[in-house]
Amino acid sequence: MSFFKSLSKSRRQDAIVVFLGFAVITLAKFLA
Amino acid sequence: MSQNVISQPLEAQQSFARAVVESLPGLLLVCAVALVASFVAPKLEAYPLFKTYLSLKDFILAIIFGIIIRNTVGVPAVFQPGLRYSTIMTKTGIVIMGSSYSLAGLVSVGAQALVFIAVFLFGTALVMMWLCRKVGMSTPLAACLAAGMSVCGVSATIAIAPAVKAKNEDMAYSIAVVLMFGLLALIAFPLIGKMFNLTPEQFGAFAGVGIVNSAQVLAAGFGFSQEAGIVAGIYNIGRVVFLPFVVLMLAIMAAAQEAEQGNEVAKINKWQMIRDKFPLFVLGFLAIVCLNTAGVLSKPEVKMAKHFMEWAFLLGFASIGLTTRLSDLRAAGLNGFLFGFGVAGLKAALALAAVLIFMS
Repeated sequence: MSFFKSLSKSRRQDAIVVFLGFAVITLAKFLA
Repeated sequence: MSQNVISQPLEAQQSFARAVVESLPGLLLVCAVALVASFVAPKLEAYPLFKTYLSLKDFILAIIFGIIIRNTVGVPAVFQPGLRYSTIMTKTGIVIMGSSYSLAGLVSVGAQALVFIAVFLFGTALVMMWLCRKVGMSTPLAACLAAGMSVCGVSATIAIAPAVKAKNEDMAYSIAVVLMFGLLALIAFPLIGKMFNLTPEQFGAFAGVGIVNSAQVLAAGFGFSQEAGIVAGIYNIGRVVFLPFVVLMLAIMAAAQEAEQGNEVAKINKWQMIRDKFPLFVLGFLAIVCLNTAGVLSKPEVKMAKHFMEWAFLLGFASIGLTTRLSDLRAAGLNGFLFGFGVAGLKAALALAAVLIFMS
């Protein structure tokens, strides 16, 4: 958590976006 | 001490819960605009004007509806917190888009895209710096405009601004010109594409090079066809990958011009600038392309992922429309728009010519 907080705003956003992307792909695997 | 350690995660949880609750009304509004756009778009296709000439797909309608709401009835303060996720939604769509590509497909589209992008991107940046100097613009404003017109209207302008000590007015001017051109391009580009009978690959390249704002590139591409949208997405990724290098080049050019004029110049740390500005989310896109190439995703799963990708874009575009204040676009003034539109129009015409010559 502290590592996440130490990141810059744009890096945090990149991390969230990649996490969401993988979460959606996982969801697509379950739903398809 | 131990009480302090326990209370910190609790506080973090509470502030997260508060942020979620505060964002709900805005997110619901974004969903409502996206749903209306996806409902209205097929109905418009029933009319010959929209079917044959003025193709307004749900992606473009979401932006237009959002802008109309924002600039007529307005958006009350309670909705504002939920409208700040447009970039996250659009970038998530780009990461998911990785499922539409295999490595071989990406190389075949991407290799040509990288050449096109590099030529247009560095060419536009250099021409803009030269042109702005000729018309007597200040160096920081010239650098903002060159970054905005070549790489990406908003993020490149924000990236270059501190390096060239640009004022807020310089940033507002650059962002206003690029966004306004992109808004007109959303309507004009699909029309031009139909007029010249462009294939989805040609149109994707035309939009990817001719329009510079990421969301507008994707909306115009998907507004033409899904295949064109995916090609436009690849061009968009190529452009953002070049962002740190163009910003570095412009910062060095601006510093040289300032030094020539006898002004004080800050030292540029080249490696740090490239590292800080590199868009890491592109690695997420590439990771999903690799998973798809390795056969981890079946055809129905890819189809489902595409469906999610379209909704991520649709929600992002609705959110962008709801946050676009046309009054902000006045920052450039009439002369600014004429100058910016002249250069952007010329770049779009050259992009169209290049696409017709090299991709036929």
